[in-house]
Amino acid sequence: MTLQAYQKKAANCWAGCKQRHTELMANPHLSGGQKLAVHYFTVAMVLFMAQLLFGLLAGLQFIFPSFLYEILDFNVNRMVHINAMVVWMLYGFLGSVYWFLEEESGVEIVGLKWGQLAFWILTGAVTVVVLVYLLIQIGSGTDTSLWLINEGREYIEAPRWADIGIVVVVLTFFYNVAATFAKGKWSGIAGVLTLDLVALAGLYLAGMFYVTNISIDQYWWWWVIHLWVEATWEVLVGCIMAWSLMKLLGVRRKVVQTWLYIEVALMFGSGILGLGHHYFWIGTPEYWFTIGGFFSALEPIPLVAMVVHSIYDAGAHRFKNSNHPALAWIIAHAFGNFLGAGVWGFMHTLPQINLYTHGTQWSASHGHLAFFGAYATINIAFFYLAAQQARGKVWMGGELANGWRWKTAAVLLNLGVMGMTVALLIAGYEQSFIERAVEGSTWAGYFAAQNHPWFMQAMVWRMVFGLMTAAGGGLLFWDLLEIGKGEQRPAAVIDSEAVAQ
Amino acid sequence: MLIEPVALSDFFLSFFSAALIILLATVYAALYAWSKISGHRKFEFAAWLIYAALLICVGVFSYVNHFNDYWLLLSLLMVLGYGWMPRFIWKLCAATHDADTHHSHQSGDHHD
Amino acid sequence: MTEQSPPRWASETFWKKTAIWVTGGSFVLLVILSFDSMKQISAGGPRVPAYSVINKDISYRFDKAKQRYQPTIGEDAPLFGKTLSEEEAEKLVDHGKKTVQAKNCMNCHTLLGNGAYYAPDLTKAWLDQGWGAKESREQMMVNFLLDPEKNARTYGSNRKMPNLDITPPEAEAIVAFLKWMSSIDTNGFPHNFIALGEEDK
Ligand code: HEM
Ligand code: HEM
Ligand SMILES: [Fe+2]
Repeated sequence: MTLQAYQKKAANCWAGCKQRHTELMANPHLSGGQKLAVHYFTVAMVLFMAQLLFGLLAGLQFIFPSFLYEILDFNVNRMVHINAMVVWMLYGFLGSVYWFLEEESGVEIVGLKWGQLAFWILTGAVTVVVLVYLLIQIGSGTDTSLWLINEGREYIEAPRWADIGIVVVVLTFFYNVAATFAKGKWSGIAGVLTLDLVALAGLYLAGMFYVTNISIDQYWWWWVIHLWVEATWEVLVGCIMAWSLMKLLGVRRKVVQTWLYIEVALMFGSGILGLGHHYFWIGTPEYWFTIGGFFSALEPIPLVAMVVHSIYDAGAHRFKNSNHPALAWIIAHAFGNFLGAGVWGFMHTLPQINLYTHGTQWSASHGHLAFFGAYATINIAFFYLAAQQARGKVWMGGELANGWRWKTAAVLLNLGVMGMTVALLIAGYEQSFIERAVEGSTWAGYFAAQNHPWFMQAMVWRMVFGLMTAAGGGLLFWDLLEIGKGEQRPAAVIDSEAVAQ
Repeated sequence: MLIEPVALSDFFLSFFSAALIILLATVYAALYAWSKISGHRKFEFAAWLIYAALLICVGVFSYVNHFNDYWLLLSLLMVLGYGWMPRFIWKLCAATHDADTHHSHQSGDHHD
Repeated sequence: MTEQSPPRWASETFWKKTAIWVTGGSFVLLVILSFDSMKQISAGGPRVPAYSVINKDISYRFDKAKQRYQPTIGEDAPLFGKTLSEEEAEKLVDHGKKTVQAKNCMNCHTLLGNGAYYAPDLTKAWLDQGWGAKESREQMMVNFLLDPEKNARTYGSNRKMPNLDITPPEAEAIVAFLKWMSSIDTNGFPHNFIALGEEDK
């Protein structure tokens, strides 16, 4: 393509985005908060695509180590891969809360203007951070580098200036939420949500300082990572699910809220002290063997309970619902959370075995299935709920025009991630065996495990399934842009509990 | 040391029994729930069969992970907990949804 | 029909209270344990040696009583031939730690087993037999960090560490950091690791 043709294409693309944005702001089916939510969802999907792209680049480097060597090294690709993931999921959560805030509180969002401003600031900041990751990548061993380039701590690499920006944005978000509920109605969901957001934001502070002592560093680093994904994020998702289930299946508020409290009790009761499963080998005292082992062994319980509960609901409600894609993804969430966090987590959580699996592809296997199963799925479900409303509460049941698209996307994504998970599991098994147990984790032992045929083949299979995942992701993006367009039938009305026997 | 790590030859057994414990617990709970929903006793029978398999897995898991002393409490916890939990969850489901079945026209938007 | 409320143990208020108490209780316990852990993992505490440990010979041996591997601290063995005061040692290790973060090492390597899985664990890198002999180790490590491409030991994997523009002072600081990190008592992780100089013991 010539440069001019390229410029023209970019200009068209930009005009297309602006056109879509104008249409969105004029959409009569959405409230102010919901329009803001769609902004968040859009950026989330873009970042999801970026996550997949950089995952593919990093995965390829396992097979072809000279691919992009000293141009985009593995650490850069991997950092963008996992940061894009954390940020798109948080965007999805923020969007979901803005989405239902008005309906849940019964009043318009207080200070929506500030919320909108915060969105643009955050998105601008994320763009700058990513550009710096890609173009500058690393700095010298000084505070300046940690403030301006990256902090070099997995998952929370964002430089300090961005950390502070994130806190300011989250405070604005929190102000929107708390002030709106305060003005309107405080429901049980509102209470849990507000307190959970305080905890979620507060935990981020634990990841915002520098210390020389790496044991202390990792001690607090895990507060952010573990207490996010195994406590506060789970409860946040619980709130979003509670609301969705009322909408989608028409479950009664009292029931939903009781179960939300049950979930909070089980999640926090096991997850907070389950943190100990990260304190086996970082210099922390031996009592964490016991605490980490026992409490993290309890962590699957709420996940089992949710699966059983959904069977009850299936029996009682027969899954009559008004949005098939969303419900399919909610089911994927229940199973994905259960498998990725519950089963995969429990397999390596006791110190007796974690001594050997710690820091191998085993962790990556679990990490992929858990993040995808628990958090990608529920976000995608919510995107479909939003799409339905944005297109004017249209029909999203059976016999949907181009229904193959959402189904294929769902199959490719779920199969792709499951395939990657199994490939990494085999690699991790081999690695824990050869590198960790037999060779005692020496440098030579590490490479002995990496060069083993099982490992090398697993890396190829990971790429095969990674491509499948990426294809599913692309299809999902396309579907979300198109689904329900031109649909004339109104959404099925679910008269709550009328369907219960 | 407070723990005795899994032996090299038992890695697979450890992973496998761990996965089965969680999976069987779910199947057991699901069968139990289903026997209540459908009213068929054969599901309850199947549930107990699964629970028996679960017990074996807990045994294998405890053995290969060299549970002794207070670690055996964890085995006990799993056996009792997973035995009792499905019943409790079921009762909880039934009890919390109970009011539902009598009020068929309350909408999800109802605030207390 | 009258409103039929569920039994107490299945009621909303019961579970609300339970949730609050369970969360509060767990959190309070975690805070108490954190205070104790901080005390035990401060540099110079029982589990994490003071930074001046880099003046000593460090090794890793199987401890019969504890039935696991354990770092050992031996004779004087000053790093780069200079015995440092506690402050000097802390400054050097601090510079190393900062460089490790600024160069984003953790997105290829694991440190204390946490990080990425594209390159070897660095927990006991100082003690690795790959460095050949204790006498030449320090210089080899510095050379490697300054030009990893030329000094690569890929063990046939072709996976090479990129040149990260590390300066000589930064390289020495990183080596100090790695030496200090290898002295942390990690409860026996990694298991079976035979340190440089422990081959025949
Ligand atoms: C949705 C919930 C969860 C998510 C998203 C998740 C994600 C992750 C990720 C990404 C890691 C790797 C961290 C790293 O980069 O070093 C990890 C590690 C770990 N997870 Fe989870 N996890 C979840 C739930 C659980 C549960 C329920 C358990 C236990 C039953 C568990 C046990 C572990 C353990 C033991 C490790 C440490 C692995 C090692 O030693 O290297 N996780 N988790
Ligand atoms: C196109 C598909 C994907 C490919 C090829 C891919 C590849 C990779 C690679 C190469 C790594 C680095 C692992 C290492 O350090 O050795 C990684 C890490 C990670 N990826 Fe992916 N990924 C993909 C999709 C996803 C998805 C869909 C998710 C979750 C929603 C995800 C979550 C993660 C997490 C949590 C880690 C860190 C794991 C850990 O540190 O233990 N990835 N991925
Ligand atoms: Fe965790």
